[in-house]
Amino acid sequence: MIAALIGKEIKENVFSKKSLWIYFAVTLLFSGLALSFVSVKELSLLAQVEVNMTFMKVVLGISILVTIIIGSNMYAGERERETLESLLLSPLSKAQITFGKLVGLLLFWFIISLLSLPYFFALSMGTDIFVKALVFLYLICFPLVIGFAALSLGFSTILSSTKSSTLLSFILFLVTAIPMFLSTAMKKSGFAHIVDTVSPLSRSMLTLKDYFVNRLGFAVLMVDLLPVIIFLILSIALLLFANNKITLKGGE
Amino acid sequence: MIQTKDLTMEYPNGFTAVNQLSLQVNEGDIYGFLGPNGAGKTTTIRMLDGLLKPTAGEVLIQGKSVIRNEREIRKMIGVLPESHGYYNWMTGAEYLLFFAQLYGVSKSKQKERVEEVLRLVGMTSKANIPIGQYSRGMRQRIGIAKTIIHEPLLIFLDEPTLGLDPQGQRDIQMILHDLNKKHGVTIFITSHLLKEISEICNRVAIVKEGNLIEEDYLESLLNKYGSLKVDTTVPITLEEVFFYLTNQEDKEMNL
Amino acid sequence: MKKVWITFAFLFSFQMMTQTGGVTFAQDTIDIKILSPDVVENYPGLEATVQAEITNLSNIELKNAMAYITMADIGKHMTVNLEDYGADVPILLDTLQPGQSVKVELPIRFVYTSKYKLYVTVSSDDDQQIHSSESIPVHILGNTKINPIFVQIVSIAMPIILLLLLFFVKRRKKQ
Ligand SMILES: Nc1ncnc2c1ncn2[C@@H]1O[C@H](COP(=O)(O)OP(=O)(O)OP(=O)(O)O)[C@@H](O)[C@H]1O
Ligand SMILES: [Mg+2]
Repeated sequence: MIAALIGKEIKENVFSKKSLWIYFAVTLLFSGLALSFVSVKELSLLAQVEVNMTFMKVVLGISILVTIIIGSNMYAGERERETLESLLLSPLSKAQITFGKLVGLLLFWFIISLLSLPYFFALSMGTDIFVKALVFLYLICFPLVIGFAALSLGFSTILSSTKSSTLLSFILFLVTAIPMFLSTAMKKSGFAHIVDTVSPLSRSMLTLKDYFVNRLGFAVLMVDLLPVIIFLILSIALLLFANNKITLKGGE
Repeated sequence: MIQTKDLTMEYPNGFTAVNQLSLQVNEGDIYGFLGPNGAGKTTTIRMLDGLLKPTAGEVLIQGKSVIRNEREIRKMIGVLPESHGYYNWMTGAEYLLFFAQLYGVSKSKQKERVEEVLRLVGMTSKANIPIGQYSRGMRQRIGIAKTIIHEPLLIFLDEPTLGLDPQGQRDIQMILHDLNKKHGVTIFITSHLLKEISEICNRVAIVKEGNLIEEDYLESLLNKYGSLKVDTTVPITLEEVFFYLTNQEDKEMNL
Repeated sequence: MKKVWITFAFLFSFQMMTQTGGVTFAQDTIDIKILSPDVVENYPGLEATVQAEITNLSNIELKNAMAYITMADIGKHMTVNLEDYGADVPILLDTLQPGQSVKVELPIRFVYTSKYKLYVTVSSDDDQQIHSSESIPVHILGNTKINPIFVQIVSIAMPIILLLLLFFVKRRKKQ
């Protein structure tokens, strides 16, 4: 029964025409970046590790961004199309419905991550970076991705319109991404410093550096990832909380 | 089939939409639930199907508490909500198959069942067109098909003919009539169209501002109020009873 | 009369010279020597620690002195953003007593391929003058094994594959 829901989510969000367009746009972006590594002089002088690290940052940022946009539409969209009531009336529990949607959402992210692999393969030639990219993408980053997916889905259940839930997810993503726009000096004090130390996104980038460049061990990576794990727990807690709050308001 | 006792819904804002409602729906009934806008019909249906938890009272379906046996009850009932949307990218057949799977219709029977309900609502020829291209009447038929896809014993229909032309209304009535007579499905229906209700229902309840004013067999109801009528040469209609009952307190009204 | 002028001019220029001499002297208040490495010639990604010795030659204490790496890109004739090299954090030396000498270790990671001059700079609150060590030559060689043709193929093929997929789906929907 839950398989039917997952199947529907996949058809609607992973293999629909809309998502194919998204994939197309994402590959265009990846291509632009990859080509710039081999053509723009400044970038072509980068060490290969740096090239792959920069590419990884973009892959992670873009894939999470589109994932949360899809995620914020999942419940709110059902609400707006007035299909939620029939879904809630099915023998599936709310938790099962949410789980099915989360699986669909993660699959969407997975497809985007798959799209990045040929690029990594080309950019990491002659080094061991490709394996590292796989480990980073599918093991180290998984808590981060699940966290953001759960968060957007949570917003989508609480807020009744797709617009507001997309906006909220988007803003939260930007807040966690603030440190990337700031100079090192700014990151060393005040608000930016706090964001930099707790932001799951910054921490993932730090982990990326420690793993790719500094070649640090598992223990250090775990410490780097601690805020990400906390973020994951909080996101899932929010999703569970939101899940219990799913009700139909009058007139819906 | 359905039994409620002192069913009450007080919304978080303090508004009592349904007040101590006690209903009795028997197996095989087509039960018409009437009331003016805002009477609490949709709220009642949502409590009956378990989507809303009543603030007081209890709903029993086949003697089982709806809240405590959620999963079991849901497989037993079908609901066509008041404002009901569709996945426009699916075809009618895909939509029905989705719900067949969602309700756990066994894999070997799914296809067969989809074809069966499509035939029942007269949509076989349109089954492979995306729902986005359906007319309102076609959507409503697919909605009813979805409601009965898992062979429920009892279905709730919240204004199923809303916005349909007379022919469309008639068609839906025929479908419901067939369902009830040939397949033994108990139907709980709300509608504004009193003529429609009086044509297909055998039992009627009238609510107003959350309170049950009348509940009886259609014939008994007509008999009861028919005798009050001044001009007895013309038989009383449900419409007259409805207006009489729902306006009673506001102004003195004669039949 | 002329002689007087000449003497004056002479004295004046002497005065000037002693003043410039004073400035030269100020430069000598801090001595910075890069102990290691002498020269860097390697591939990008190399992590190195620059060891330097800083000595306060003056007879006053220098407060809040800090030491940091500076690089000039002599390949492209540009200054270098040391943040990219992870070398933007100075080492704080607190107070340097007269005659005191400290050794510092400054980490750096060479990322871009080019030729550089690398030197260590020290500044302190009490001194307007900035002091730098002599530079060491740094040559970062290109090592990237990226095959541009291969990257180009992937970058062009991927969007095209997806575009084809889109057309395929569109046509199948129509049928
Ligand atoms: N979530 C809610 N919070 C507060 N009041 C509500 C809520 N939902 C409905 N109501 C109120 O409860 C009353 C009954 O609403 P309900 O939708 O059950 O009426 P109805 O009989 O179905 O009306 P209609 O014929 O228009 O469909 C209305 O006055 C409505 O304003
Ligand atoms: Mg209603």
